[in-house]
Amino acid sequence: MHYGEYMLEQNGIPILALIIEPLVAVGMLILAVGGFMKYIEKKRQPTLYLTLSFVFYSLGIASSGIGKWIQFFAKVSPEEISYADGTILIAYGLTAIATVFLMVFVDLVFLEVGPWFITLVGIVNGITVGMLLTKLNFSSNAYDEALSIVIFHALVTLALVLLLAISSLREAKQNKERLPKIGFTFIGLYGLFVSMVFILFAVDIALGGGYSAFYYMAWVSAGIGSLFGYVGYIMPDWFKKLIKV
Amino acid sequence: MIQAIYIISRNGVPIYFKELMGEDEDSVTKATLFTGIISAIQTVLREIYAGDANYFTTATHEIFLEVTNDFAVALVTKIDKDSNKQSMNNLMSEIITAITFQFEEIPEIGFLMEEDQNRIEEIVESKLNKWERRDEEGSATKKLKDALW
Repeated sequence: MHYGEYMLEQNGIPILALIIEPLVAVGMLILAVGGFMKYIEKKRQPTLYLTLSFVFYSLGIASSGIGKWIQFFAKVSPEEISYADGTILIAYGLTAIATVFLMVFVDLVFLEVGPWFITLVGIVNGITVGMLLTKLNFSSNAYDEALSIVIFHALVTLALVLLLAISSLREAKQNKERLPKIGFTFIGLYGLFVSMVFILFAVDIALGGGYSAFYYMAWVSAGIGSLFGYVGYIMPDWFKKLIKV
Repeated sequence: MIQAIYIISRNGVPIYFKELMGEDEDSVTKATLFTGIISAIQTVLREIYAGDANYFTTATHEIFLEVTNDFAVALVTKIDKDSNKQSMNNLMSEIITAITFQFEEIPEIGFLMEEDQNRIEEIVESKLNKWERRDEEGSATKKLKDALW
């Protein structure tokens, strides 16, 4: 293999993918740690469920990243064992659980429609996790075999995260006070950027799932989303000083 | 938190009033006194060309006012640093629009037939309920201030 090619890709995994996924996982982990510290301080249910959603999102992203690292350095070819394909199915299972926790937060703060909503989201995402588990394997076509479940999961998550974005942006529009107006706007932007992740991944899959520009744009979108999330949810003191509240 | 709503005729008579914190025996007297004083203040302000007042505060309460050609609406609230003035103004505007739309004219003297009184009561009740629902929706702010910010 040519040295230049080796630098760009090994076992079908581009080097940039090795960097970008752990970076976003760290971003989400920072959100989870921030959320956990807020929970220790405030002891409130919405904080707990939000933190749990960040924990599972970061575990999901980390799982996908770890799979890519293992495959990159693996001695066996991806045609024999595809760590990246198998771990991405685990990642989707973890994000499905994360979305349930995020919807508990959305219901507690915005919707207040009662247990039927969470039960419904729990059942739908529970089915997704169950179906992903039945398809879980590390063969080279593991991802293709589970593609219909992945698409179903992406559509459900897209709709639910858009619900968070719309609820939050509506709240920001109605608010006259500076702190909540900015906070809800950033939470809304977090929702929009996370929604963009699923749309961009869908475009990447439609183009053949070969690490197109849309794959990287999806992760950049996730990274920007986690930044907005950190400011909107955690609202650190330095940011409060910056916006003078 | 809204304590009372008054619809006041041009000459200061309470056309309709509702005390949300519970009415007592002196409610009518107090409402008449209140609307009379508000009307007197407005008259004085007009006399000295200072324009209509639309907001007063006391040590414990805020009074929001909106005046039309035929009548005025007054809201009394307890002072609250989180109170949303725009939301109060929106409620008054909605009440005024609905009354103006349903009544050709409000008698200057302020005495209405029972049927008309009931219609005004319905308007105020419905707008107040709608406003309270919107205010409840705003509780997302309270929850996040409590849970995160």
